[in-house]
Amino acid sequence: MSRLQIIFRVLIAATVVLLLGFAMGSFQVASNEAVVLTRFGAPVRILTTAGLHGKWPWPIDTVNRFDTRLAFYDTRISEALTEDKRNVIVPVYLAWRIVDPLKFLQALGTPDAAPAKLDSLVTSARNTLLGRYKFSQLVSNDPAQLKLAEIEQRLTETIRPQALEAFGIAVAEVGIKRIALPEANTLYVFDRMRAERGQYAAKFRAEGRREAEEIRAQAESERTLLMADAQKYAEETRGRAEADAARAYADAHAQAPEFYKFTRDLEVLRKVAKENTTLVLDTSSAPFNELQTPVNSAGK
Amino acid sequence: MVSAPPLSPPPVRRRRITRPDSGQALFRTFANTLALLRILLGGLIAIYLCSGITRIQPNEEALIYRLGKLRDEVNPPGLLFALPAPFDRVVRVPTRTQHEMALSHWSPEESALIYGSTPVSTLPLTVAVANTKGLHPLYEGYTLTGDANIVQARFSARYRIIDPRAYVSAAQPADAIALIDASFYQAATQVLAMMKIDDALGAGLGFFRERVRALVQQRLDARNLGVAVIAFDVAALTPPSATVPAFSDVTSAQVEARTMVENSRTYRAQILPQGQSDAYRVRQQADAAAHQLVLRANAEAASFAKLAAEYRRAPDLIRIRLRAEAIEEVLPRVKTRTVLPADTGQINLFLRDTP
Repeated sequence: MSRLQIIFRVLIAATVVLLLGFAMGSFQVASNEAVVLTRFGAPVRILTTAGLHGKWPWPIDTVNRFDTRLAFYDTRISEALTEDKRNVIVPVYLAWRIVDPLKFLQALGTPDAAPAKLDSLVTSARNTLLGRYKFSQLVSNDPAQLKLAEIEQRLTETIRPQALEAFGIAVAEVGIKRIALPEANTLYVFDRMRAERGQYAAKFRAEGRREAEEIRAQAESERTLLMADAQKYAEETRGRAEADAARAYADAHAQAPEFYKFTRDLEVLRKVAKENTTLVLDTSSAPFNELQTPVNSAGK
Repeated sequence: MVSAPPLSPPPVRRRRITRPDSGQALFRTFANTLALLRILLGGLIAIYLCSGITRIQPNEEALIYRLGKLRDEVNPPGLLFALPAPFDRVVRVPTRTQHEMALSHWSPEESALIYGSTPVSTLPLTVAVANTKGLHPLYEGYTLTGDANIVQARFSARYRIIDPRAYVSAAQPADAIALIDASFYQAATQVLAMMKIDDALGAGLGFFRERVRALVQQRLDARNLGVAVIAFDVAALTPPSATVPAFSDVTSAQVEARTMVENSRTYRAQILPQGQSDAYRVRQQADAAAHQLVLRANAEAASFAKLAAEYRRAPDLIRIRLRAEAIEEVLPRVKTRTVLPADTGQINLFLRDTP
């Protein structure tokens, strides 16, 4: 074995030892990560700055890593009572992050243990809080009445210090995911919805009928008006015509009133005499006088 | 996560460990092929050194954590020359992909999909059988509207990661997705909680969509998630199936009401022209009658005037002739004629009542 070979092998061995030492004696802290370094279980350092850090190799120092980014948690569904004693189901979700890794390590150990603790924390806070609000503040057509955002805000404010103090967790956000009712209550809601729809349907039908009747009645009155107008015109026209006619007659008759009277009488006579009229006449009257005296002239 | 020991030495050691029981002959062979192994070792080292080179897909951008620390630059698609494993960690973020999100927790049963984004007139009116079961809060999703009605819905949303550094720093991908998902439900709950069901199912849908989108964006921005909501769509928004027949009835009531009104309009359109023509006829008849009356009067007056002129010339003659004409005409018509002598003096007549 040449010296060169020996030097080469020593170099390789040294590199391996160095690398091993480096691997065991250092660790990285990533951005968005916090590390609690424990020595035989006792926490010695908390590292939150990203980069390379040194430590004693394994059984002495242990690296406990925590992701400090937001974690999401959906609470379990449970019922709560509002101030006006109505059962509601208001599931909430949480966005939380670890801000005090040492406290988190001491209180919970691993991130997996966090949800159960947070769940009971949030659930009890939510139930207490909902007890101070009326159902009409959870759902309302009046935006001023609606307190959902306020409830979220107050819930966050309530659990934030508790979570921070107990678990080293910062609650970034609490959101109400839906508003539901216990199963049995939904049946009543169905009934009410159906009744409401029934009212609407009846209202639409009644309004339709009313409008239809109005249109019909108006059309009829318009038609009546048209006819009345026409009749009025007809009456006026006839009146005028009769006046004209009367004037024409009067003008003519004024020229010979006596003769007119005579012709009128004859006319009346013609009209009055019917088949069963019995006429009693004296023979001296014309034309029967002609039967009696064959005298020359007539005249009355 | 613990920084891995360098990759190069282990293969060598492993070979030594796995081979000793193979015997002397194998050891000799190993000594002979040492040169080959050296080349192999060199190759492995080379491969290790190149292992940081990453291909970034066209829809991605890449970030580098160097010794755990997130670097500022955002690397575009293409080849990224990063350092090998313990030094650099490459995270690829699909920033150019539109992420589709199906939000179907409040989804109604398929049979109830009547009301939705489809216009009311084209509803396939499948009358759902009213179930007598309530909605289970855990298995059947829904929320309440402002007037405390139950609505079910199916949404979909699209978002894009616009700030990859913020995105990877804000949350783990699974949590980020869960948070985005929850934010949509949160916003939808909040907006529906102040809407009337009729608005939500009808004219207010656009408002609902826009409001939810804005609220979600606001919420995600507050968490600095680096995500932009591109769209929020409502695939279906319906009342629960148990109440669907009642809702359908309202629709048919509207249709009925419209029909009634239209029928009345038709009636009006029929009778008004009829009335106009009737009125026109009455006027025309009146005009004609008046005209006739005046003409006849004039004619009669004229004829009278002529006769009167004759009368003035020979009054007795005319008188006699006219009277004679009248008697001729009248006498044949009367029933009984009794002619008494003129000189018998007074007579008494008992007249029957005659019609």
